[in-house]
Amino acid sequence: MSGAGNRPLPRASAKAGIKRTGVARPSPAGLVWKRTAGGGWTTRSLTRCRADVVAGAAALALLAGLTGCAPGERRGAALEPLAVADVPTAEAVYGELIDALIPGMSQEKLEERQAPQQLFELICLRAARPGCERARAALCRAIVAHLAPSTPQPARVWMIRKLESIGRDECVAALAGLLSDENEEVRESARRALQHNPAPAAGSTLREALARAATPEWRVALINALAARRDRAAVGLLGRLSQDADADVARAAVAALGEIGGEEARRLLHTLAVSGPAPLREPAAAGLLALLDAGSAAARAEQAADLYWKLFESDLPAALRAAALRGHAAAAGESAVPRLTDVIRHPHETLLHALAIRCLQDLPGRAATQALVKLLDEVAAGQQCQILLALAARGEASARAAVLARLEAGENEVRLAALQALRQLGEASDVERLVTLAGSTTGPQREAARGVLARLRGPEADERLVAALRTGPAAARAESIRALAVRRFRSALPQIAERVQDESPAVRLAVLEALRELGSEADIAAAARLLGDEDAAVREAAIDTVVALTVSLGEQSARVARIESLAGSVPSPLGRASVVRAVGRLGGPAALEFVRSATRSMDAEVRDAAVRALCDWPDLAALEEVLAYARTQENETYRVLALRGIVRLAALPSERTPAETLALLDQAMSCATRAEDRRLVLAALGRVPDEAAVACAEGLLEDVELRGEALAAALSSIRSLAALERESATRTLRRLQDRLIDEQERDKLAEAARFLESLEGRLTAWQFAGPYQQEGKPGVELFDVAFDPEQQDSAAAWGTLLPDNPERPWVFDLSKATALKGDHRCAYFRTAVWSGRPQPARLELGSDDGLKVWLNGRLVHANNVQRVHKTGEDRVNLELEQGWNVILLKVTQVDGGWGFSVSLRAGEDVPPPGLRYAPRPPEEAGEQPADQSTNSIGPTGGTIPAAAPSSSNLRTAWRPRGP
Amino acid sequence: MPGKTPFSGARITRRDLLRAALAAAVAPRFVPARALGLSGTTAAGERITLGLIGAGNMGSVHLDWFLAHKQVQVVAICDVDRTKRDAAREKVEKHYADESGEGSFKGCRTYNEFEELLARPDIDAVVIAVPDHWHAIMACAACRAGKDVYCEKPLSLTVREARQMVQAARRYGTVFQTGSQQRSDPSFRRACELVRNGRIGRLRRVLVNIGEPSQEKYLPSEPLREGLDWERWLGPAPWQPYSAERCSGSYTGGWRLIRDYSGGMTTDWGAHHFDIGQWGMGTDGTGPVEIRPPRPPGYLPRDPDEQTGLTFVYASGVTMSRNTSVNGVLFEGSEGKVEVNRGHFKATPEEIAHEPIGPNELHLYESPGHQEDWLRCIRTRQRPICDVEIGASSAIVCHLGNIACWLNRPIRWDPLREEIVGDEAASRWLDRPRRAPWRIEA
Repeated sequence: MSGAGNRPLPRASAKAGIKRTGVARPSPAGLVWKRTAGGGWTTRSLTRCRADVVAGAAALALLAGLTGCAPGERRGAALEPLAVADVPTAEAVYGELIDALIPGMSQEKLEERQAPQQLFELICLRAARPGCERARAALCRAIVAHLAPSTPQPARVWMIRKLESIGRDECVAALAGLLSDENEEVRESARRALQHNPAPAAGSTLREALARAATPEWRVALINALAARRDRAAVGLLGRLSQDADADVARAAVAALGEIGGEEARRLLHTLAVSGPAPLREPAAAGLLALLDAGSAAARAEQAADLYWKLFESDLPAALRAAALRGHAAAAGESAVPRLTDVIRHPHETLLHALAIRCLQDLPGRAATQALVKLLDEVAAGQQCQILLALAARGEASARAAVLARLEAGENEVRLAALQALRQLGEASDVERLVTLAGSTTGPQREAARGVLARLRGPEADERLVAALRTGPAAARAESIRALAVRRFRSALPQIAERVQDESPAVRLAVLEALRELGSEADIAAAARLLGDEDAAVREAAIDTVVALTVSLGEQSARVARIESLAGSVPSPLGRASVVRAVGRLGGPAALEFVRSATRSMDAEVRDAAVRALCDWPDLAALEEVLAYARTQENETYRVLALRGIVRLAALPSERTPAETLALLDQAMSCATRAEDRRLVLAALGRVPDEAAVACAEGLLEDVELRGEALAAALSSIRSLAALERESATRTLRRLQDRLIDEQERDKLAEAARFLESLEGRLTAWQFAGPYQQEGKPGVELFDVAFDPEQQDSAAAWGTLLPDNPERPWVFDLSKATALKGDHRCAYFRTAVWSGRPQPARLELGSDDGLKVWLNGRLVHANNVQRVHKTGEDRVNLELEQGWNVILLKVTQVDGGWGFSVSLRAGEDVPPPGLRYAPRPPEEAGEQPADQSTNSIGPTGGTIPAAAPSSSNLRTAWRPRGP
Repeated sequence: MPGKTPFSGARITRRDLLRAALAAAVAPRFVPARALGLSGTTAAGERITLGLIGAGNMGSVHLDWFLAHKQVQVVAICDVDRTKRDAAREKVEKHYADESGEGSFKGCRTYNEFEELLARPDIDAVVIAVPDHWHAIMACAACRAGKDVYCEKPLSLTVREARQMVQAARRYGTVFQTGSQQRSDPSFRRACELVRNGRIGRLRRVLVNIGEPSQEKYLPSEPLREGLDWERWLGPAPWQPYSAERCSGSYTGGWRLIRDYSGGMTTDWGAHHFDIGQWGMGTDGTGPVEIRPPRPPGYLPRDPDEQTGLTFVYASGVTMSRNTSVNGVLFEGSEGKVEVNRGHFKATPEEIAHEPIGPNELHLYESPGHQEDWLRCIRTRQRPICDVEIGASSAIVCHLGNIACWLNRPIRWDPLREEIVGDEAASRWLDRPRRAPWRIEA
């Protein structure tokens, strides 16, 4: 390959340029750095430089390659030829480059230095890579040639900082000169560059400079540099400087000796630590300890151990004595045990007791374990805890007996520490003791004992647990079963199942819990034996267990059939009642049929269970019966249960329209006879966003007993309504104003009015379409897939999106919406905003994850990100047209959270004036009757009941009643 | 270079000691655990006395936590920004006044210089929540002063500093918690236990979603803000003129993205997510053997599975790569996957998520909470969940990643000797010369 000078010029620079003579030297003014689309940098001047000088042309080619101006070349690839170029040519090329870059690197404004300085760094990094030694040396020489005071300071400093990374021998002389530069930043940069320079000459330069240094500050700086270099040749000089009159210099010299090390440094530090001036004894000892630590593993360990001990016995600060003690223990090994034990027993060494215990923990050999065990009987409770943990960390089985002894005698915290230690030291033979302890204690001790049982290693522990579930106190038997479940020891299932006959309810409960954890469909029969248990808690657990164990059967009908089949084998009415309740938990048509038939049972317990199951039915399928019970006059309990059931169903998130929910509550209210029942219904009414719901609540304002609840329900309903129909909510609120009688009521209304006002500009009424997915495509890639709602002739089905956050109805958490939720998908949302005139506005958007926005069919924002939702994170300025404006959103979901929020703003938190809101423009809504074409979703789905009754029917139930 | 740094290294003068003694004399009497020799034995009524170094974003979070803890007494605040340290002191005094019900409380002193705080013999432990370029100097000085240390992550600014911090902590027996608090989150522990116990088969690779390395920032010079000791803020970093952005503690900007003070998101988030990667791989105390920089923009992968982001290759053949499409950390094995992040846990196959770890399997350290774990270990003298050695291993991974990115070339690493192999220029990035007069003293 030829030299750099023969490289063809990049096309850009071959264009006719401005006239120049000699070496191509772009004028400072001509260097205008601009960021390219690809993130690199380019300069306009490249296109205007002549290419008639070899070195200059190569420099330009280099620059072009680096900045991406050379077609077909990767950024930086143009440096390759310099690796083989002859050094003089390479140095000349680099010189040209530096000439070209210096003006930019020295721009007055810091921000304008960025491009040239970063480009220069790139050149340096490329030149210094392995295998390019000649290029690196050439570049360094070129840099050195440009470090004269005539070069502007910012460029000098930057180039010296680069020499810190790449300079070697060739820079030392120049950097030595700069150590006496007039400029302090240049001097300091040169010092650091020499500190980092691997050439031996850099060390001698720093030593010479130190010998000549005039000020204490500069001497400290140079000492630090020599210390960082571990410059052994400086030890003599540093030894002398440790006597310096300036305290900072002396201390820096001592610290440097500790960094550098070696025999001579160690000797000097030893002398200073033992007999030096007071201010230097502490740093000298610290340095000596560092040197001893680094070498204590070597053959001189014994000598080091003695030295450590001498330092420990001195009057050094506590932290240094602690370090000396640790060092002594590490160097002396097992033979340090007596001394460490003495320290722990010494009444005046309290600062070091904990440390000495820790040292014993880390020592090899049995002697340390024995010493720790012995100390257990001598020290206070807190230190016993530390010793127990130390013994655990050592893991020697010989300490186990001492640890076990602490379970019996000792304060609470000691017992806990002993249990913690048993996690490491416990054995299978401890099982009986531990299950007894777990069964006879509460709180942290029981949890700790259970923790040990869960961790005991080996099959013998399981065998002992199996044996223990038949013997001992009931609580211990229950703990054995529990431990086997936690340990997932399935082989014990038959023995566990046998205990369904245990006399203790606690054991029977533990059996059911274990069956739930470990069992399968085959264990249903065992659990079913407890469905008729005399203990209510056991019966309840048996129902839970039977239901849980049928999960593996899959289909709901199969699960129902399996539980139904148990009825024949359960002898008692209580047991058959439990079967009914278990079936009721599953829901669905087959279960409903079974429960309905149970309402006609001869057994009172079974009939009762069936009624309760119907009132608690998970959906509206049993509504007819529930209403009948609500109207019954015969059984007050059933009536109340049924009423609560209806209210519960009305409050469940579902796909019902507000009118349908209102119809349900209307029926509940018609059955409500007592004031507390009607309060219950009113509370549910407040969550219905419908003008008719407000009217219903208004009807009860005249009822003295219920007026407070009625007003609260009306205002709550208005708040909910405001999200969907802002104008209707405002109108209703005004109407309500005339019916208020006191200040307190007016305050509540004013608060609701403020809430409505706060919604101005917040977009809360949305329709949704989706979710949309594509097989094998992660959520992030769906961003650019144009699904139906993006198409011109879209036939997407739109549903109403109900707010899920009553306080901030413009913030939607889509991960709660059953119809949408899931990973790797997207959905579309649309809304309409009417503006009285054309006006500028700002969209403030938040999304989790990616977001696209169209205004009146035009894409105005796209941000394909993965992030958590934060309101107003994206801001888009736009122009609202006069009349209705349609906003369409696309929100993508990768995984985790999913949601969005949109607000319109004119100024800082000020909404644009004169807006009206609708889920879609009224003219379009007119084409499709709302009650036929749309469905609505809230946080979760559900079934839609029969059509809502007319509003005239509604009112009858919502009137004041006599006592 | 305007101005001079007033203190020389971590020097503590006689004047400082006198001042500290005076401070201790006028402050209310809180019995420090160490002064009574009670480390390991401190009863519930005896509080651990704490000094906070750095009262910015993370410092404030820690301050709130420790103030609420009944076994801790915050007695000192240090910050080079007078506004911040005064605000923190007011918060402390108000808290203890409210707690005692006596209307006022004067027992928290403020410091501009951390050396003065460390010289106080009545302080047991310090929380260091300052920009990364200060971590090593302060933490090593704290160890030498006999304080236990909670140091924010990433542990250090350079590879060499991390090792020096480990040595200092070991020498002085310091209980040293690194602030990579995801280790104390049960979800992350659960994910790592599944991986370590082979629930996803043989581990093939780890994908981690973190941001970019730091870089030089060219910020316009601004008039110095009243009350800020700019020379102290810069400390060992190269001199630069003041700009508010440069010293901003914003979690998404400020000093975290500037190379003189931090490794950028590679270290800021890497100290969380790479740290979890290390935990899951079981490579605490060691590291990768090769680090590959990201492929250039426009690079076409040879197969869809190829990782184009920064990649670490471990001796076992397992790789750990930066990949912005995962949620937190994703472990991929021969028989399944586990993805974990804050508030996110996803296992494939799903059922492994609920399988308990058996008695004969590996159980990882269970922490009661990151700060709580540190306090507990101060009493027991055991090593906390993210001991300095673990923090160092993870920080070194992050730093090596940055070196490969900044140099834009692969580097080979000897994790035992902690040396870059065959690239002298890259090796120089293992440490940085500190601006005089600052040095690390341990």
